[in-house]
Amino acid sequence: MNKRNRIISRGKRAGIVLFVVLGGIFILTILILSYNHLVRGKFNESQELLKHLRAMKCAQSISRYIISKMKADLIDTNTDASSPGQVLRTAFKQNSESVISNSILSDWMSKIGLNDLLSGLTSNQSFVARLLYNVDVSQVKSLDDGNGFYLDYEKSGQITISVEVEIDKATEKWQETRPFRVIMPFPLPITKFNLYLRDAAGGDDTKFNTVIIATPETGKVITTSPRPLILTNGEPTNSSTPEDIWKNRGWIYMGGSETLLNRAGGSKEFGQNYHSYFPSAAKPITLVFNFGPWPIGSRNVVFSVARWGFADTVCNGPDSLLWQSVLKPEFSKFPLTAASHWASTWLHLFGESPQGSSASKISHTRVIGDVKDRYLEVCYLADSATKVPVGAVRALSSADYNTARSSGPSIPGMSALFVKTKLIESDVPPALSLQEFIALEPLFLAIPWLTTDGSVCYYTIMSKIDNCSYSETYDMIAQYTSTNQKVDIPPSAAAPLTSDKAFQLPIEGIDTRNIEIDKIAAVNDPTLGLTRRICYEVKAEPAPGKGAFEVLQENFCYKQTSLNLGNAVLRVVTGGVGMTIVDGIGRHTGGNIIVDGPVTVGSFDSSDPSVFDPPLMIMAEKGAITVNNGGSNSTLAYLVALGNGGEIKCSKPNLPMNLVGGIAAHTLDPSKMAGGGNLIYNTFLDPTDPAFTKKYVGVVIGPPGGNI
Amino acid sequence: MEMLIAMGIVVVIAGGVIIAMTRGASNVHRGSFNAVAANQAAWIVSLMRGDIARSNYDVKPEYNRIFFVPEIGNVWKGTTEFKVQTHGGRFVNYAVETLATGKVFVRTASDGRKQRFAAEYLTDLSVELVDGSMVVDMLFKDPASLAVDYKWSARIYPPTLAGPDRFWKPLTP
Amino acid sequence: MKRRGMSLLEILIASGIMIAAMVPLWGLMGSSHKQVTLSADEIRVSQLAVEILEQIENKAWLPLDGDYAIVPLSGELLSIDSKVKVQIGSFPEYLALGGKINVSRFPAGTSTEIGKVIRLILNYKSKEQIGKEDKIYELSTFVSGY
Repeated sequence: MNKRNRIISRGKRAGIVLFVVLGGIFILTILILSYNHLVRGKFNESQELLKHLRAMKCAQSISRYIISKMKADLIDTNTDASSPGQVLRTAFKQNSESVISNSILSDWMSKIGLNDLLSGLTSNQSFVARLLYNVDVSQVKSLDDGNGFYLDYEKSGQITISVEVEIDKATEKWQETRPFRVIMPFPLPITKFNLYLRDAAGGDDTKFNTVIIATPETGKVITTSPRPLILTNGEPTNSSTPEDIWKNRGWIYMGGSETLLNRAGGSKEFGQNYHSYFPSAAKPITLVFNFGPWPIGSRNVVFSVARWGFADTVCNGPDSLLWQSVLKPEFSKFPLTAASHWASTWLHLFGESPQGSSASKISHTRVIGDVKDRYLEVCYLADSATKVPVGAVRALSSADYNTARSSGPSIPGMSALFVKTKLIESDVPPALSLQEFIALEPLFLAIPWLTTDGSVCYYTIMSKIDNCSYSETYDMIAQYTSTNQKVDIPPSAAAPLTSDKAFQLPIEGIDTRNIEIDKIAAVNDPTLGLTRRICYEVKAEPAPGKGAFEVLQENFCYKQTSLNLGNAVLRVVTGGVGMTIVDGIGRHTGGNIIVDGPVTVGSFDSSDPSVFDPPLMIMAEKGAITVNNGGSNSTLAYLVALGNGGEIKCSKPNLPMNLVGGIAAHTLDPSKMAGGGNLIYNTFLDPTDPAFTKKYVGVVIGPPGGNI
Repeated sequence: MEMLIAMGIVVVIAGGVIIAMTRGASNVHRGSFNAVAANQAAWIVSLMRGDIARSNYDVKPEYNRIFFVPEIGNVWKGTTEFKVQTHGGRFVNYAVETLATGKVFVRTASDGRKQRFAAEYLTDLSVELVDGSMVVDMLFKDPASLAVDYKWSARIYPPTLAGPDRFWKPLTP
Repeated sequence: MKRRGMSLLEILIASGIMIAAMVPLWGLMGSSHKQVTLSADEIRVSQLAVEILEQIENKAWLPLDGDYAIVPLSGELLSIDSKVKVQIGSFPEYLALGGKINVSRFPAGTSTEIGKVIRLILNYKSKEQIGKEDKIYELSTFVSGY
């Protein structure tokens, strides 16, 4: 029995070790397999993490590219309708949120190579990458708050770019919302003016004409006498009627007193010279400037500076007896026995030539009488027999004058000076008797072209360019010899009414006839209505940090050398101290810089390919804008200094100022622009010009998460 | 004799099995601790990086969208505010809560979603603001004290506004 | 008499089975350990890479196209291109990081360049593969000056 038990118990114990070992192996296996499973799981998780990281970087990068491409295209000036810039600007100018979104998505975003970028970001990798994107525009609202002028496309809103990238089933979504604004960066209607002076005379009617002489007794002109400013509005060269000519001149506003246009012959056919002349304080007038289909650069205002000359020879020269007979009333009023009033009563304006010009451009005016209020138009008869009347005598350059004197067919009874069709316009009614003027002929012939010693010098005789009657002309001449201060030049029938403030073209539906031009730049808004269009504000850093211009240069300049505002409006806060823009600055994109104080504008870069593209405005809320002039490059901006007493002046007053853009100032001081200069209007500043709306509307995208 | 040999072999084998099992178990424990801690650390950093990349840090308060209140010097330890505003006005809040077993990293999103990470092993989590970047330091301890402490450090550089973006002027301030 | 050697035989068979089973199991655990280290190394390198890229993005680095070799050192400042410096995170020495940054304009071709695709390629050695070929981790981003 025991043996059997032992055998049986042995039999029962048989395999126990095996079972124990197998059991242990089983447990160990479970343990290790579960560990392996855990590790596998964690490995897969970490691979998921890496894919998510990669997907996030791709989504972030693609979103960054979309915004960058959008900003780049919005300043691209390609005017082709299918160009990305035009497509985007057209989209943003719509007012419906869904239309803007759909246009951007289907016409722009699908064509900017997003899948190419994804390939570039995931190149050399084995995983599968997919991309989804969307754009959504929301909270679109017109900028018009009921105050001021706003164009119908000006708006604010929000744009949301969504990018979803999937890397091997790991998906990351990137969504960025930015505010945007669509603006016209220049104030209406200032930029329709070539020259706008809010109070030109500054209370001094004779400001632009005043001559200071050292001693009234001698009547000698002094070289440092302030010189009057003459604006020559000389282009274009073709027109059909005088009214067209009149209309097709640039807008010039000389506010603060009545201004008269001297419709003298300009340097070109139908050219006009405007002499600033203020006989009395009255309502200002707006003179029509040229907004017709003229080529860029053909609207210009030339600043000439005149120097008064005194006619010593009137009473002391070889023709003094002749003058006494011609100017009998004057001699009666101011007898020779008195102090040299005669020296001051016969003043002849002659202008300085622009620096470097070979042909002198000198004044075309002869003034008789008290310098403040007299004009004389002297008209030459061509031929008493044919009754060809007094006509226009065109201003000529000195070279042309000399040529005319020595060539051309002569008219019987007249010297070679009065060459038909060269000097005298025909087809005008008869006027004065030839006799009286022939008597003056030797005098005029003998007068040299230009003098600097104070003796009389004349070049041409001021005249009208359209038809006038004998009576009209005689009356005008007659009144010049009287003490009547009222001079009706030009005759109102031939000129637009002074109350006519209509601009030639409507501004996108705004009836500008109701614009009160003299109310432009009311002082309660130094930004001229641009407050809601200001997209950026720059301040100087606290000391010893960077100055305002340094901050602007760092952030709003292309390669630190060219202003790059992206057609936006940027305000610089300096606490009223003002800002200096360095010399050699260029323009990469257009826009408007508003400074809360005076501005010094340095010279511009000569490598700018176009003096007109892109349009730039510089505005001083208070104080003056001083232009570093006299260099070889023009100043390429529209300058606005409309604060009380604001003015535009030159750092080198005796050198010319050459500007392509425009001027709007409270006033101008001729002594600070004694060198004269040229002002050529830039039509890209004009919001009614289709070229402006095609290229230079400001569409400005703000920062991620920024407020509207 | 046979018994002795057999017993000897049994002892060797059983001992081997037991040693293998215990060593294996502790290796597995250590290995799983390292795997889990590494992954948890990576997830926490990845989530924070994903949130912070969708935000931005700026010394100017009007542009700053990361609200970081340090507790000691520039170091945040989880009890004060650390809020990150991300896309679309959404925001997340981070906190480190203390449990009986250690600490846990909590991420609460503005849509109400609350997530907890690393409750098993997290002992310490700090974020230090250094030159505009965020240094995240984490310490994981094995409660069974078998594994060596696991440390993980990462640095997150929040996006900064550059160029014109810093000077944007909204319509209403 | 037949059962006399059964315990020993049993034990020997059991030993054999155990050894036969333990080898692959131990190998499995070893490879699991390796897997943990490999993925921890890869995550660490990815973290270093994204830290470099985040700094490059913040500095808006826009160099000329080409390759820029880099040798990141743990905790040190790395000069790329002599104009930009980035802080490298700390990492164990065995990683022996090296690599390059490849810069290429985007879009390619003649249209206006909007920015650069910056590809960071890091070579590293994992702890578990010393002596074998380097592993590569690559991560890219896009930067722009607009």
